[in-house]
Amino acid sequence: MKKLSKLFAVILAAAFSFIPSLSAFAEDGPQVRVASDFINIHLGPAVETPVFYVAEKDEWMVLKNRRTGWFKVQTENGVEGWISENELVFTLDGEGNPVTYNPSLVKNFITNISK
Amino acid sequence: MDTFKSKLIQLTLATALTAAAMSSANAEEDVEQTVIDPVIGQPTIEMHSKDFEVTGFLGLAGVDQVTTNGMFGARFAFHITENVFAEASYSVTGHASSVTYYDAVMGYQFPGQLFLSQNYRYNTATYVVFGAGKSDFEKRGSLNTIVGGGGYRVMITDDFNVKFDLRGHLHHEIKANPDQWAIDFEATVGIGYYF
Repeated sequence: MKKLSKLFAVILAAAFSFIPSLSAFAEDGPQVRVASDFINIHLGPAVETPVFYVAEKDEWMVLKNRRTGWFKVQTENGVEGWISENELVFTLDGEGNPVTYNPSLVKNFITNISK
Repeated sequence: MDTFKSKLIQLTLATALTAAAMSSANAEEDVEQTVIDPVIGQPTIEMHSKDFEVTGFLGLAGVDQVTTNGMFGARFAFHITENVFAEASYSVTGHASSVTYYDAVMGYQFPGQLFLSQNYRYNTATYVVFGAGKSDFEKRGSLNTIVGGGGYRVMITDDFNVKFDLRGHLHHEIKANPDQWAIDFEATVGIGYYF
């Protein structure tokens, strides 16, 4: 019985130690800084969805996900939303270089075909 | 005297050389500091774009406008733009003489929002699809089919979604009169995953 409770405690400890590492992992991702006057952040990955937040110049964002034409971002004050990949041109990376991104498979394929 | 002269020459030469070497080193450092490396053709951010979507679904299928039975299947979609997608699907009905559908459709989606309560908001899409395929009737051969319908997708997370689909399969009648049209309907619930 004691062994079992010990094992249980170890498992609990392991689980709890895992939780912060998970949330820390969620913060991971390329960081970019707004270089233009502002960047519109949309609710969803589509131009029709409303703009609910405007990231100001020099605000930092973490890129967390990517779907056709859109990047999911989290701003330094915790706002999560989507920016168009065309807007990513107006950001700088950690070293102050203008951000460029790899084309999506689809875009790459289309541009290769049209060449 | 000669040795002194030669020594002097050697010394001046050596100092000149080291000075030159140092200045060139400095120049290199300056160059490194001032010239911004132009990253052309090499993106500063490499991130995979999740343009593909795979879906498993369950539902009901009505065949011959008489019998309704369960069905299941899978879809594979390719999101060309944020609104347009191409999708192939395979599904089998649970009828005694089962029907297998092979569909290829193009879809257009209208983005939206679902406010479940004060605290939960989900991105959604309402979409219409139209395309063609084959309906394979077990032991009775297959027919060319026109497929049309619509659906609603709720993004539970950024990668997983739940979707509801209503589709019709329009084909010639298989038994009585081959010149008549018949519509098979399907109503399904699926789980999709972007990758």
